[in-house]
Amino acid sequence: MTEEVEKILKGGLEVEIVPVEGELNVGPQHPGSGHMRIFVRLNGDIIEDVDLDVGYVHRSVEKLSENRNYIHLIPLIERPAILDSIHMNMAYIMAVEKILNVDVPPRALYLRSFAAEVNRIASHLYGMGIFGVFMGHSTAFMWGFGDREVWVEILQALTGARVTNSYILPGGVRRDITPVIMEMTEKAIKYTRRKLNDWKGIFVNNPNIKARTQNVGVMTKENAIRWGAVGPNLRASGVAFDVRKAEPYAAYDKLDFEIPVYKEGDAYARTLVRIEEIEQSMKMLEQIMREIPQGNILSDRFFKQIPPIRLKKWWEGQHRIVMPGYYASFRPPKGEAFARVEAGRGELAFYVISDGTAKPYRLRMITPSYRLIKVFRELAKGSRYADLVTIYGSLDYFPPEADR
Amino acid sequence: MKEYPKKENPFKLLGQHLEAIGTGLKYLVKPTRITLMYPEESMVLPTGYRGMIRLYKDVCIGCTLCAMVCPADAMKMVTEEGKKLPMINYGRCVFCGFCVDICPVDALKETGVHDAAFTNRRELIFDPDKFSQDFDQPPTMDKPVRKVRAKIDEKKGIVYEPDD
Repeated sequence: MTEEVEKILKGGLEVEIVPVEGELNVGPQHPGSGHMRIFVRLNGDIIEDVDLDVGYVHRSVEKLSENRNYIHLIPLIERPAILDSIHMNMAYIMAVEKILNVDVPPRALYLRSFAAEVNRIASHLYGMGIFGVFMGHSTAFMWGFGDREVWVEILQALTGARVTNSYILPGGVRRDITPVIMEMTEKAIKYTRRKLNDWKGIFVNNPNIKARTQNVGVMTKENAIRWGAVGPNLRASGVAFDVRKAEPYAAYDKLDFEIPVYKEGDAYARTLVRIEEIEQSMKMLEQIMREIPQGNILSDRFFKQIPPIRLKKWWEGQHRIVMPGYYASFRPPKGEAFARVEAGRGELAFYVISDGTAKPYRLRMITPSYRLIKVFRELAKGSRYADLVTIYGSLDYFPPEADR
Repeated sequence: MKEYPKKENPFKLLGQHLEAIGTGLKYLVKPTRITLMYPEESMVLPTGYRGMIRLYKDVCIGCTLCAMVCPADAMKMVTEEGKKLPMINYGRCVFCGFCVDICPVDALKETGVHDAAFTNRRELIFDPDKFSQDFDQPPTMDKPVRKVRAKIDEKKGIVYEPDD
């Protein structure tokens, strides 16, 4: 008999005391942290403080943009949020268009809204899938990614690429919508409506999910405004703010839609807002397909520069715009512009300064996820450790987008 | 502004539990799988898909616009027998398709090939001669590959139909 067992038998049991306070690293290798390290200070099970160590996927977009032509920046600025690339692209192009002073034809504006709403649905489904698997609901993960594929397929047919679309150009868009794509979209809307009912059955109305999300990570209206929350997270806290309504861009001033607002501000309300936004987006897509005006998809100023032989082949033959040589290194006049859009995760802003050369003097990019760092930190304080992933997932925080 | 119902009676909760299990069972009996059995099945990509690029050497006029518009510096011009021709480095290419769109004589074309593999980095650089051939890799499998086309379905999401 060994000494320890003898000790136990005699009653002198020694228990190793677990300290009440401690620190914990979550990440950075993505066990539900994204590409960042969440440094959690715990007191028992309660989170005392959270430090977010961000920057693991920093791409230095703002500095790189000072050394590249305006057209070269299109693929670069959509890299930080590949799920939401249409919005990234659109906000940047809107800023450049303001400097260039270009009018965009109405059909191109409708097409921008079309692509953006398809992208929003894909982005929300992705976010819900990630949220589900964070809470151990792997069905939601599989469904989110599977259902997203339908919308990605539409983007692929429209733009030629699955996620890094590079679809929007100064003055218009690159490709026109075809009846085949419209038919695909109609089918996809029917499918997603049907599937959202099942989503509600297995995920949203599931009492297990409700128990894990209701009253977790509650953000009051005042806090949401003070911490600078944006997008669905802000709207789940009772603030009815949406850039599409507040400052309509693309074709949103002609579209009928509601912005879902919930009062509670907890993780469950944020999920409900996302689900309802998907429904609203599909409503908008139907309206766009009904009402899209005929016409050109590129501003006349650039359209005239395309060689006639090419126009005949591409625009009349395949409904594609080809670029005039102007785009290769255009020099906008001196000036500065600010543009904002409602991206999948919230308000996205671009600020571009032009000094008259082919490269921007300065480009500032404020992404929605960047604003969520503060929100996440404040929300996690005082909650239980098990709720950390729930809060994180419900915010739909996307690290590359925040790091830029 | 909306609010979700707070206090729910236990019977409703039980019903929702059953609904969740029922939905799961529905998909257990009638699964909607969208897995593509790659490489036994291979997807035919739609027209206009921005895949690998091919050059038509005789059509090219050497205007260097493609090299100028390339955002990733993947395309460079080389002089071959007094004629300027583009060459591409697929290690840098981001498949944005700007070069295809800007070429004034349509000397560049997007192909539907996107699943190429190379054993070293030098092979990724295509000189004008290699660049102006249809890119074709020998199949790595003994069995014939089933070509399928993705279609959106109202009930199943995505279905793969054989391509004729």
